[in-house]
Amino acid sequence: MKKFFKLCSDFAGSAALYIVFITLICAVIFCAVTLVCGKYIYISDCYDALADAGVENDIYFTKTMRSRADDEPQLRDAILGTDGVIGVVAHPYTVNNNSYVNWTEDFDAGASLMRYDRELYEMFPPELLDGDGFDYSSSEPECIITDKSMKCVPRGTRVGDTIEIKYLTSDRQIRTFPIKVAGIAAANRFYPTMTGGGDGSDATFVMSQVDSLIIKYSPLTKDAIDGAFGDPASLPRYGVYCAFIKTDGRQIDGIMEALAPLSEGGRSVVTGKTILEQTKADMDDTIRSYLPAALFSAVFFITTIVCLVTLSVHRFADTITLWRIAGASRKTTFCAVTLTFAASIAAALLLTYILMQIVIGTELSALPIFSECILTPSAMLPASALGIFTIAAAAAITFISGRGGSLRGLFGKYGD
Amino acid sequence: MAFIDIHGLCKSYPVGKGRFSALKNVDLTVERGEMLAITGRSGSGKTTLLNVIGTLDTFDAGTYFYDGRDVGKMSDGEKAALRASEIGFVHQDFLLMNHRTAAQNVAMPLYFGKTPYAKFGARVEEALTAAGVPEQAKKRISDMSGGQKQRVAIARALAISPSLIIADEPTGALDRTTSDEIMDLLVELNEKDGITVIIVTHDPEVAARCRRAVKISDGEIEV
Repeated sequence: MKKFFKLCSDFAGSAALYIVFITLICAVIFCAVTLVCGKYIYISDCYDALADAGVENDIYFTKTMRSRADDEPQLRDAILGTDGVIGVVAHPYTVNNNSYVNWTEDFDAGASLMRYDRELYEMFPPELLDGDGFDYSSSEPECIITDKSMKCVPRGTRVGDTIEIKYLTSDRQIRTFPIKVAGIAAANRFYPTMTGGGDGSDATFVMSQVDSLIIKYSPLTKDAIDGAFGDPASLPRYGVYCAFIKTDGRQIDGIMEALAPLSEGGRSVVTGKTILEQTKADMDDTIRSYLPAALFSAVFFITTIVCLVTLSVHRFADTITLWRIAGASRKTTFCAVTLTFAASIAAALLLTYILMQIVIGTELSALPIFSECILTPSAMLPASALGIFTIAAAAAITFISGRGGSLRGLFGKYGD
Repeated sequence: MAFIDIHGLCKSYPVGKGRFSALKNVDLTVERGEMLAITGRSGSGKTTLLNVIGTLDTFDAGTYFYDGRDVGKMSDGEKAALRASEIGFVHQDFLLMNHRTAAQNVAMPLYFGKTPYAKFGARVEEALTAAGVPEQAKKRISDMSGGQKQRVAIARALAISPSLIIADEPTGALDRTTSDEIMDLLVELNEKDGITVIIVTHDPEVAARCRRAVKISDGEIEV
C-alpha cells in the first residue's frame, strides 16, 4: 500500500501543474453548470410538485390589473362575468398576524395563511408597480399552496380548527402539516380599496367559489392597512387587482384576452399561465437564446480540459513507463493513475461544494449572478456527469491519437 | 539453455482494420555476461524486441525463456517482480522524475524489490558511485546535464544489482564525448561485474563497442 501511494504521489507530482489546472477548471465548470442547472431543476421540480398536487392547470395568475377604486366592483364583476372564469380570489393577501386585520369567525370560506417560504418568495417576488402603495421591504413574505382536496379553507372552518396545509418545501417537495386556523379573512378586509365595504359580503362571494389557490404574497404596508382600517380617506387612490383566477379548464389565454380591455393606463393583463409554467417557459427561452454561447463556452472549456488532461496523461506516460521498468505491475499502475485522476475530479467537486456553501451562507448570494440562480447540491449531478464525460473524452482522444505511448502499455499495447 | 533464449517470437499490433507485424519469427539467444547490440532502422522492431525481452510487452507466438524461466507463462505480477529484481533499464530519454533528486530516482526500483528500507541509502550510494556521479545524489534531475542524467539512469538500473541491463539508444540524446563515457561505463559494468547488457542502437560506433551485434530489419533478425 505504501508503494501504491508513493506511485500516486509520483504521478501527481509529475503532472502537478496540469492537475491543479484541471481541478480549478473543473470547479469553475461545476459551479457554472450547477448555477444554471440549479435554477432549472428548481423550476421543474416546482412545476412537477404542482402537477402532483393537481393544481398546475387550475391556478392562473394575472399581473396587476389596475383600476380606480370606484371601478373595482365593475372590474371584479367583469372578470367573473368572463366566460370561463368561475372564481376569483381578490387580493391574495393573507396574514398570520391578526394585528393587521379584524378576523371574522363565521365566514364559511376564505383564504388563510401561512407558510413562510423565503426561497419561493425570492424566486417569485411580488410583481407590483411603483406607486401602488406596497412596500416590499416592510412586510414578511409568505406563500401558501393548497390543493383541491383542501378546498382552500373548507366550508364551515372556524377559527381554532386544525386543518392540514399542503405546502411546497424548500427542497421542492409537497408536504403537509397541521395548522391551527388563526383566522378566516374576508377579501375586502384584505384589500380595503376594493369595495370600501366592511361586511365581508363581497369576500364571501368571491372566496367561496375558489376551490384551490396558490397565494403569492403581495405585501401591503402596515401603514396602508392601518390606514384602511383607520381613516378611509387615506386609502390609496388606486388598487392593484392582483388576482388568481380559477377557470373551468378553458384556455386562460382567451380569458386574459377578454380581460385585457379592463386594464387601465396601458397596464395590460399578462398572458395567463401558471407562474411556474411561465417561468419555466422563460427559462427555456433564455436557455435557447443563450444556447450558441453556451455551446461555445462548453466546447471551449471541454477542449481546454481535454488538452490539459491529454498533456498530463503524456506526462503520466513517462512516469508510467518509469514505474513499470522499475517493477510496478500494470494493475498497480493503472489503479494509481485512475485514483489520481479520480482524486482530482473529487477535489474539484469538493471545492465546488465548498464554494457553493460559502456563497449560500454569505451575502454573496445577493449578487445578481447568484440570486438569479439556485445553488443546490443536487444540481451538481449534471456537473459531475460533465466532468466524467470530459475525462472520458480526454482519455479517448489520448488513446485514439495513438500518442498515449506508455499509457497504452497498461493495456498490453506498449511499444512500437 | 542460454540466459536469454527466444525462438519463433512474433508480435503484431492492430493498425486500422489490419495488423502490423513488428516481430516475425525472431530467434535470439544471449549468454550470461554477454554484451549484445541490436541494430536496425527506425521502425524495424528493435525497441519492440527490447520491450519483450524486458517483459514490458507481451508477444503473440513463440517462446521466451529468461534464465530458464518461461516468460510466456508468467503473470503480469511475476514479470513485474522479475523486472524489479533482475532487469535494469536505460532509456534514450532517461525516464527520470525531473522534480526529484538523483538519489530519489535511483531508489525508486528498490520500492518494488525486497531490499529493506533501511538499506536504501547504502544501495543508492553504491549505485551512484558505480555510475560515477556520487556527488549528484541530492541534485534535482532538472538541474543536470544530459550525461549526468544518463549516469543517474544507469545508477537506477544498478540499484537492484541486475543480471541484465537493457539500454534503448542510451547515447541517442548525448554528444559524442558523453556517449563514449556512457559506453565506457556500460562496457565496464559488463566486463567488471559480469552484467549482461543488451543495447538497441542505430549508431555503428556504439554497436562496435559491443562484443556481438545483430541486425533487425522489418521485424526479422538478419543472419
